Amino acid sequence: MELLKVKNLKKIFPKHKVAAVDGVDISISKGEIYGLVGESGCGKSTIARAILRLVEVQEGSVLYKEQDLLKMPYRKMRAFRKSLQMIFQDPHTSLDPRVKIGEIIEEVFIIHDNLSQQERRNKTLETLEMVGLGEAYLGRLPSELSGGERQRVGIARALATDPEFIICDEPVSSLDISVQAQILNLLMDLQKRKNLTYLFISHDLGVVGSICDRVSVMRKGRFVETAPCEEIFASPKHEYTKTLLNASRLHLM
Amino acid sequence: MKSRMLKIEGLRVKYGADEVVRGVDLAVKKGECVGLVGESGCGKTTVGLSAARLIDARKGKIVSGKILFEGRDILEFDAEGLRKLRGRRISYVFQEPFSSLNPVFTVHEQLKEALREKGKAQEAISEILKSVGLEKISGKKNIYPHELSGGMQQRVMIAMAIASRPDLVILDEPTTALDVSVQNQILELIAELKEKMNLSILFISHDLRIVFSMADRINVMYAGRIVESGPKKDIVSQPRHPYTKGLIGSIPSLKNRKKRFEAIEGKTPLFSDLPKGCKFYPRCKFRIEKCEDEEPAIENISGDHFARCVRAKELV
Repeated sequence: MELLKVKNLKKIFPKHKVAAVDGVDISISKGEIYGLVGESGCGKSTIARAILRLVEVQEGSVLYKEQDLLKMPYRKMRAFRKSLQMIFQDPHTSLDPRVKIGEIIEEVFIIHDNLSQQERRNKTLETLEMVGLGEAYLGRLPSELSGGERQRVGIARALATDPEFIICDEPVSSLDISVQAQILNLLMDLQKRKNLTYLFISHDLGVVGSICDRVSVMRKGRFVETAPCEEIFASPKHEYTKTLLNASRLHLM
Repeated sequence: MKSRMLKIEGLRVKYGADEVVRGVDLAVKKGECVGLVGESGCGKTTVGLSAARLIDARKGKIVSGKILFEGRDILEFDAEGLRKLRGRRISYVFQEPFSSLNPVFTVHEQLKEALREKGKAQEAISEILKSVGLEKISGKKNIYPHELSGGMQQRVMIAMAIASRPDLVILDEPTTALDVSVQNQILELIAELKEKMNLSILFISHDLRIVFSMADRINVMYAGRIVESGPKKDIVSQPRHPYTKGLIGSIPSLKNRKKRFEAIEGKTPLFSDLPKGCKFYPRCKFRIEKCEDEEPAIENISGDHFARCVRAKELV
């Protein structure tokens, strides 16, 4: 089943006058991990933000279960936000440094659900346990956590609304390679357990190749190649894909 | 046999009460690239900084050991001796190019300082910028660091590092802040300069993929000590320490597509609270009772391959 369909998406930032996203189409099925790979500044994060309406675009549509998110009134969009979540790149800047971990998660339930205090507490703990963090973390501040633990909090916050679709925007690129492997394991486990759908954004083809089903290679606001992962690694068609493949040092392993 | 450029013996470094380098031996021969790999907070940067005597004296102290540069212990050097050493014989490239360059001076001015050349400086600067692939800006005098991309900034840092034709370059995560494709270009540049100038390199990184592609020998560091060392091919094909195996298992690979990574669970211990026996014991998949009580000595496996694990010989 097609869960998300992006059609002819176009975003021009007025200041720069060039299209950051220049007519992009994506189709993601339920339960799929869809990779989006490209270098800094190619427009991948703009696509992510446009899907969630964190930036407004000039052209195109984003159909989620056949409803156009971009044409929806904000109030209606709010209900949809529960099922579309995002995990951000930098766990250092995406958590409020003054708010305790327990409160960061609990806030989600205050906003989205009508629960008693006790129910909220239970759900907070349940959510943290899902990402491998226990009760001991409830009272801690982000500064007391390692990068990997902070990213787990970021994942927990996204999971708290029980979403179907999660955009992972470079979720492991600021982490050590050993921690990266832990977080990728967690994301794969959660995907299977909850039949989640991911749009997985990364500049590292190795990471994309190891977890995604299909991938689009992006350059200067456009897709240069879209294919199932096996295909793109076995026989890349576009020169740019070959360059990225070469750079990811996969042949060494 | 090639001569030793750098030889570190029994290095111990303390930050306050925490000993973060707990007896490290490491050697770099002339013209060789030696990798030092481990997770954040294992002490690898401290080893690199020590090798150039760059430990901030207000924060840390080299407690014991020797750092022999061409056979002379630089721990005994005075300020004048160090001045002649740093930047001339030994140079250092840090992880983040932007915070290492001075934002209020032009690239030209900063290179001029590194070159220490009077008179024909302009020519020398153009030459050095060309050698690091920055032909585009080699003729321009008034370019500031912020006008350059991350990759170009790192090229400038490398230009500054090689400007005085040093013998030893310490590269501390030189590409970690960069995109994969830019990373590749910088690594190619480093490899090319190494050949051309017969540089000795100490290459520090958390990413085994990069170290594999650059280094002749590899040292794996955990909780302030080397836990495995050897020629690259031995470490790649026959890692013996469970930690090295875990680091290799963490590398994305197409062979195990859509499968869980053989990752290392848990996190690095705090130096203020290290386990009693083997420091890797709490995270180790292969641990046995013995590991909890006693930290193993580093043992020879074969030839030049060493590992610090009681089960190293059976874990093939």
